[in-house]
Amino acid sequence: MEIKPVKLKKKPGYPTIKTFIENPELLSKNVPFAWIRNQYAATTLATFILCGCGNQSNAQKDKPTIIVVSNDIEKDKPSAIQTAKHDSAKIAKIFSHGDGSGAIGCVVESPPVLISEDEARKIIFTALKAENIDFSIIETPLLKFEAPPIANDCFDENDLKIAKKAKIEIKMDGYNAKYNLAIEYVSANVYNKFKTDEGCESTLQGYSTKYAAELIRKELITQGDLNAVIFYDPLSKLEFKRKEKFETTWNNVKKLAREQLLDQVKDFIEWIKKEGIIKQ
Amino acid sequence: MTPETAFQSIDFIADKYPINTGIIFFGGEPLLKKNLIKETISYCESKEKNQEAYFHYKVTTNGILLDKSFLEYANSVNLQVAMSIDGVGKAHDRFRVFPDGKSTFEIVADKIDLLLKHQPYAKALMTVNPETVNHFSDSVEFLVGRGFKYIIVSLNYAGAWNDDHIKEIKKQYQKIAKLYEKWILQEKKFYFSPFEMKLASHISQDNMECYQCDFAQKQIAIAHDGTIYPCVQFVQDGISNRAYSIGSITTGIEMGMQKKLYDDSKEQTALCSECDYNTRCNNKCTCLNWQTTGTLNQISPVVCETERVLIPIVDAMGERLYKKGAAMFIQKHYNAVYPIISMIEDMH
Repeated sequence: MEIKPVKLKKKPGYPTIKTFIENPELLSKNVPFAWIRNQYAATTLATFILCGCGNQSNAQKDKPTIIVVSNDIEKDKPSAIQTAKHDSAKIAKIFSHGDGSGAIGCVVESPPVLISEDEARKIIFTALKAENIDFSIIETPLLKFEAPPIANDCFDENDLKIAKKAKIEIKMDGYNAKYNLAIEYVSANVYNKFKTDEGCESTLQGYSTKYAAELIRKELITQGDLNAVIFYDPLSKLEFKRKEKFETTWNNVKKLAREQLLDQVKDFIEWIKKEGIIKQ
Repeated sequence: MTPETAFQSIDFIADKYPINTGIIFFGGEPLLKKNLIKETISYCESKEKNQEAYFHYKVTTNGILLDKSFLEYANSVNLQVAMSIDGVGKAHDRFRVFPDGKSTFEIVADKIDLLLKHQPYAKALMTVNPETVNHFSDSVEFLVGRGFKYIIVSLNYAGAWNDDHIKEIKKQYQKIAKLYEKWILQEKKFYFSPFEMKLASHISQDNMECYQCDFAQKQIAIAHDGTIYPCVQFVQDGISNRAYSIGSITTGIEMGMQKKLYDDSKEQTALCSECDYNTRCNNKCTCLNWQTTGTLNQISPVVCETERVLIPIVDAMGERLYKKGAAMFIQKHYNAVYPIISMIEDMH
């Protein structure tokens, strides 16, 4: 045994506290399930983040997010997102459950019930966890591309033709390095990135999450880096009935929306097994 | 220690260190003197009533004399009880036996539930010897399985460690790293001191100094006769190590000696200075250096070897957990208010 100075070739692969001070949203994006289930813990965490542990605007925008992890111990999996082109990158089709279109505001009679990104991640990752597929939400791919605006609530077709392209930047929701597999959920917020509402003063807000999902899918096929799947907010619609309480109607539609999103995930699980991306 | 010396010690502390000072009862076995503990705490409370000083209390016990009545008392005065238990029976009974050689494990293990019922966050103080290192992982699993949330480990560096033991400890740390990873992913809450300290030493970087004791400054020890030592490890029998005494409760701290010991402890050796693990290493534990090399600032080869084994294993584990986005890992190590939220969760 001897005293021997160590010379390190690389720094440890987990960050120092400085990273979290500079990116306080990382805390609100990595909340244990147990805390989310516990309203007191969740409220306390949110309070601390709002009071200074986090960036206020980010904390309000990005509600606590679920990350699902498996219990397996994986050996030395690739540490960074793979950047090489994969000729065999497989992009799942859009699994169609729910219209994925709707509108709120103005004269809309049947507005959709939205599923937030936080809630969607919970549904998606919980279902995938049951299949032992775990995802990181920290090191996820950043997808950048330009697209023609897919909608504007004031523009007519001619306006759309001359409208500037939207610069889309999407940090995908989850990434599994082992399978080079990325997941994105198209919420109403993501859909808004495709819109150019410049000069539009209408209270009407239209959403086509399914169409936006198709556009993202096409771009992923073009880029060809990743195995990927895009889910979308089904945008299940409220249809009010005279003899039914609002809460009952809302709860029923919300339940339907969750089921539709879960059906998308179930189709994806079948697909991913069939394609051999994961072992059955 | 007589009650008079104990009270004089409290007077001394109240005078010199009146704000939220921790009083730790140690031995030998302190529960042999339950009444003295109670009298001392009662005396401390009288000081608090007069707003002369404020204290908190800890006691380290081998658990043999622990009972419901004492734990109820401990809770009533906010005395934190830590239990010395080395893990599974084969590890614990290797050294912790009665004078006639009979096992203490069964008796101590039977007290775990009682202790944790009264103090769910009680610490298990675990010593790992060369002779017991092959039970290290099993022992950690045993203690966590029995419900301990805090496991504080000390390697007995004064033991006869050899190269085979170093290979074994590497194997054991790797097994424990797998357990740690599994438990964190299951969102189990626990504290395993060797790993937590090394993770913190990277994550906190410059603030790591805060985790280290300032020799002869912060955690001074008072022997049975009132002699003051720079650290509990220097007390020994309270008589034979007076060369390191920094004063007494009657004459006060000898500032010159206190400063000399502190300065000596901070001198770095050339080999340590050029090591990339220097800021993360146990080489700054003065009592450890003294125990193993007889000097205050020289690291022993055993400590160096075990640190070089431990740090890369912990770093690899930290990297895996971070890349998996393990929420409990991230909150525990990067969220300054983690202890508060964790406690609130436990309360509801």
